Amino acid sequence: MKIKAKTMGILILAIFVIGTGSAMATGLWATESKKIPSKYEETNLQDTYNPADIRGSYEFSEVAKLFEIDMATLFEAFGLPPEAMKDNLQSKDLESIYENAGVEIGNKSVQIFVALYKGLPIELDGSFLPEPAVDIIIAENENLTEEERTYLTTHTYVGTEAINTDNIIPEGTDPAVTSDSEPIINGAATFQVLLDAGITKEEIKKIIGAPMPLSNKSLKDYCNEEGLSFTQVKDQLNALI
Amino acid sequence: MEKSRKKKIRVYVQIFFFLLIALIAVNKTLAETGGGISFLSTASIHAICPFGGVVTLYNLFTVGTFVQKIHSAAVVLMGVVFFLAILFGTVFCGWICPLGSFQEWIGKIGHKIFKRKYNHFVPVKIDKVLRYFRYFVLGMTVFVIARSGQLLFENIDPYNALFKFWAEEVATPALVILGLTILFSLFVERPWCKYACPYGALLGLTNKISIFKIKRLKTTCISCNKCDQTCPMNIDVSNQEVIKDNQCIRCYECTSEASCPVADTVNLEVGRKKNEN
Repeated sequence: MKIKAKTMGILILAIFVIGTGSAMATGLWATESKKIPSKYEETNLQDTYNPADIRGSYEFSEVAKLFEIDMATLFEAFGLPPEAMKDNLQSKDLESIYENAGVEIGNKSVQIFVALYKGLPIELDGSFLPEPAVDIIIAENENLTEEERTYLTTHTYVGTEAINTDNIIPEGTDPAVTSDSEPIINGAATFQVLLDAGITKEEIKKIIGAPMPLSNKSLKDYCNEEGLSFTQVKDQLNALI
Repeated sequence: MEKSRKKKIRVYVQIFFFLLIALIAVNKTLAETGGGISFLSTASIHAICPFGGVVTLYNLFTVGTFVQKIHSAAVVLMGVVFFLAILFGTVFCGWICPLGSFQEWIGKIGHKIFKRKYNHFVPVKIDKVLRYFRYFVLGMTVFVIARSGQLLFENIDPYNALFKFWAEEVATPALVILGLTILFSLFVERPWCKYACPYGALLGLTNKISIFKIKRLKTTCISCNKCDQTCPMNIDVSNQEVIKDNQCIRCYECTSEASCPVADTVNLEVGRKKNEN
């Protein structure tokens, strides 16, 4: 049995169409990460997305959709001009937008805002929230705990003069790509990245409390699986570099 | 006239896949700036590269996740390409791979300049040794990606550079290798495929086991060596009855549909009885 060139051309196209079409029909076809945060492990919040899993690559529109928050509210909270809504701003963009603020305002601030706005539990760290965000949370959430109220009072960034509007640009870059201003260890880092950055296996063991897993494993996935705070682990590791 | 028309079928398929990938790459850039064509995919180049499916396998089996920037579509495409390879051998290289097609088109300029000398610049002995280099590239690529869980190959990948040369994120070494590939294509047919392509190295192994193979009928062969002269991969077709060479790209250039002047003498086929030879 011979196959002529014409038949080969048709066969190649047909096999490609059938192969990819079947994968699409059965839901096996994905060309990008599904931006779906993990859910809480607590039984009473089992079906609720955990804001602590909002990644720096999430666009504001995705955060708004996932956590059912009005986009305008999110933009107002972080002092962003409404005209920037069309620009696919990512949560991590806040770091460059507020780079002159002198305090840390970034993805963690978005996580905290979403959690406190929606009345969900979250681990509070040293990140700051812009004043409008604090005002919105206080107006919207009457059930804030004393600890949360204290946190908001002590972690409010007043004034918007430090906002770098030049940085309100469509990012469009891959979430794994780091810039000079970003820490080496981010949400896309694997354990090999830590080793390449000069951190020893012993140091890693000390921080994660267990021997280092396979070097191709993502640090963030490991923290999620082991119930560790990715932010805390990441900060401790970044401090070693 | 008839042979020329038949040869074009492969070119049409090559143009189709080249344009498809180019349009998707441009559309991704447009989509990132708020534009783009809505009915066309905005996938990244890595997400639709079947070799991405190969390099992510170790990660999938060991830690259950894809290598950074790789998604299930790449694994699906890897499956489709392996299915094609088991049936027909490396048709992916000869008919689909846009980087292979691109080199072939550049090579046409070289062919016009150097005529018969084209594709015969590298001494046979050196050429033979150099062709093993792509297995080294394959081994290194798989090892480095398996170890790091990150797509480090993109920094030297000319395919990535070809379809994203306008993007800032394309590493300089990748652009340099693309430039060298273009330059060498003026002297050698498909230099990246011959000497460095890790995916071609892997797929080439299926030429030994594929169901359909290029076969030469000794009884009707007139030993004119036209098959040897037209083979872009410099395979010695005229001295073999079954082409199992891992460099063959199943381009049909040697067959009776293209260069072979005798009908039904060189074909891609299955199941010819031994006594027919």
